Amino acid sequence: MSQLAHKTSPAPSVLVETRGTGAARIWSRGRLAARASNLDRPFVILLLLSLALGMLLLLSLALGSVSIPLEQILSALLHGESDKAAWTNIALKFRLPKTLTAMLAGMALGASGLLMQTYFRNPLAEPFVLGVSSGASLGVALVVLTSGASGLAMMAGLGFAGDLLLTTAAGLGAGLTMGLVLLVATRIRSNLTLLILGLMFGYLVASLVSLLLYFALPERIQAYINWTFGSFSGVTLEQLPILASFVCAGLLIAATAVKALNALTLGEDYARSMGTNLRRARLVIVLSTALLVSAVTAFCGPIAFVGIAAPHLCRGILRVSDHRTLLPGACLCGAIATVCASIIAELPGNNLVLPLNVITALLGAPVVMLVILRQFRGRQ
Amino acid sequence: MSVPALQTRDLAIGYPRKRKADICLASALNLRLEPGALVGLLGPNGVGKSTLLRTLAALQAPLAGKVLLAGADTSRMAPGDLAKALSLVLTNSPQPGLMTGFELVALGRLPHSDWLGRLSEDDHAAVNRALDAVNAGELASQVLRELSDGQRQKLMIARALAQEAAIMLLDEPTAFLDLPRRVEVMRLLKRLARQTGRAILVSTHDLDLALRNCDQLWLLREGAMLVGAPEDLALDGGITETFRSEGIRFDENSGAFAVEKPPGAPIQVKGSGTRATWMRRALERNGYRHDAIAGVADISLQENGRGPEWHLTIEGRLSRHRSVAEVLAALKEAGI
Repeated sequence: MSQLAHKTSPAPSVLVETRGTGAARIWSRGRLAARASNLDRPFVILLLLSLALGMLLLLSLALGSVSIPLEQILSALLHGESDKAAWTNIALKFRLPKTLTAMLAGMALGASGLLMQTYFRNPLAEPFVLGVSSGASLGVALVVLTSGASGLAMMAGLGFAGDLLLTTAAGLGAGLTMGLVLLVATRIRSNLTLLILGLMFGYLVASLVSLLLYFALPERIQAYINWTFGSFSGVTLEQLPILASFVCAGLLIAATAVKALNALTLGEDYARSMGTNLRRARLVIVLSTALLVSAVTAFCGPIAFVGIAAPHLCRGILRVSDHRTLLPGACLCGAIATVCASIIAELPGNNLVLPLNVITALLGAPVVMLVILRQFRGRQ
Repeated sequence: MSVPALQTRDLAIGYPRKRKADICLASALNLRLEPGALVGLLGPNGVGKSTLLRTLAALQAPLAGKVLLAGADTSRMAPGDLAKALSLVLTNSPQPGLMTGFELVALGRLPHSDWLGRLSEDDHAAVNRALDAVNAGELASQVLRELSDGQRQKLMIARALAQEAAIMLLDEPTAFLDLPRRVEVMRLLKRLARQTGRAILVSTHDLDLALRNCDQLWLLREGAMLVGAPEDLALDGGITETFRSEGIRFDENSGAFAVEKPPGAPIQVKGSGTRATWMRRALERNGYRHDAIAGVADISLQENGRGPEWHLTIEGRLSRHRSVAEVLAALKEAGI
């Protein structure tokens, strides 16, 4: 491992010479002077991940049922026009909101997954363990499966009004659950209690939803199942700021918890002995996760897998345990995963669209397995 | 008299219960930890050693009374201030696999760093000082999961040192370590107490090491605490009392625990030195009683051309043996 670090260590100085951007220069002066060279590796990786994400964002705008040349995408983005009006329209009105939604959702899920895994000290923890997304699914199930004929007609039309109704139902369900979780979080002593309560709440909701499904009409069941597949296409350019502000707020709150998260890697007793206010840390972590998850679930449905995979991916690639590096890393890994999945789900050059949740796990699981196996091989 | 680093006033420790009487493990504790001293906390299992340490570290609330750190009540201290006054090492060292030794020790600087936990020049210096103090400089760049239990525990102690708190509490830090590592850790703690002027309280089951290294012992038993220099507690029977139980007792002469057994057949071992000592231990282990004057059998060590040889005499009949095991077998064969 130290060999690897050594090999990559000359990279920053090359970077500074060739690019010489202000940020890189400030960084290199501060960090290179003060620290051993192997600590620079994570920064370089974060930079590479950002570049990869940037390219994926452009690709996501270019690819779809109609392929648009990259330079036309850039011109549409920068000047608001391209060679064909249709291209500008597709890129800016349809693909831009979808791409940005995918990125925001990925960042939110990656970050909240990291918070949960560190807080519960459990590699199987994920953003949904708090039960917030279960609450959202119950809200959606209630609306979709029990609403009157008019509601169904609206849904069948699949206009924005129908989407808005689903978003509101999911948001209400998630918001109410979030309040419940926060209330519980202030009252309990052990974080394990919170984990188990969240899981039990999930089972409870799942069985309620099953009950609703059992008595529901087939076409309504289809509408509900479509929601559970997840989608980044439901967010309009007008709704995007709402999602963005929730995600930004959640991430900012998460950023204030990095010190506590670092202390918590040694367990609650040690964290406390090193000056962590456990009660406050728990509230900050739960609030941040609940905000991120409820916003994403309300707008995109329950996006599976990214929340558990992105933190593993990020640790596997960065190989550090400092959350000042891991948090942005998990955001980037999550965003890369969701934007990738969103591109692939569209099956470029084809009119078919696959369910999003099928793609995330189908393609993501092997990648995570590879990363984890590589990590364990290094152990021998 | 100097100000104690830590002091308790009528402290009662235990666990509160709803609708039932609290479980009180010890009460009316008035203890003092002085700077520069290594204190050993000993007592049988389940007597409340860990509860006491957790209460002193403010990880749990006392049932009654107060814990004062340099005069300040811990129940009113902010977590950050508490961490600057008191550091903690627990039995099992956690294994955050991807962390390096340096990063682990640097966690000890969290109470001193800004909201992001960034390290200043001073923090770096403090971490390096702590690593040097426990002779773990070479572990700084190594990844934790590649280290042994002993090396990790050393780093945990360095982390507590880097916290630069006047008091260090350790809850059975050597429980999972082998004997040489246990000796090393206790010596290290003694040296740290002397060199850095910290007040160090360590709970341990290793009576022998505590007797050899600690400046003071706290013996906790059935709700009461005996405090004194190790030797005084050995001489006045405090240790014997604390660890009194079926079939085992503290032998004041040897300073170790001895297994009590109904006296068996007396056997005399002539001579002194290492070999004679080990022969006596072998006899004791097998239920014989050593008798310095006369026995149903006597054993002596003879030197002949090929090396030492045991001469066993039973009712006037002499047999020669090359090893302790052979002697024991011969005794058994003779029906003794």
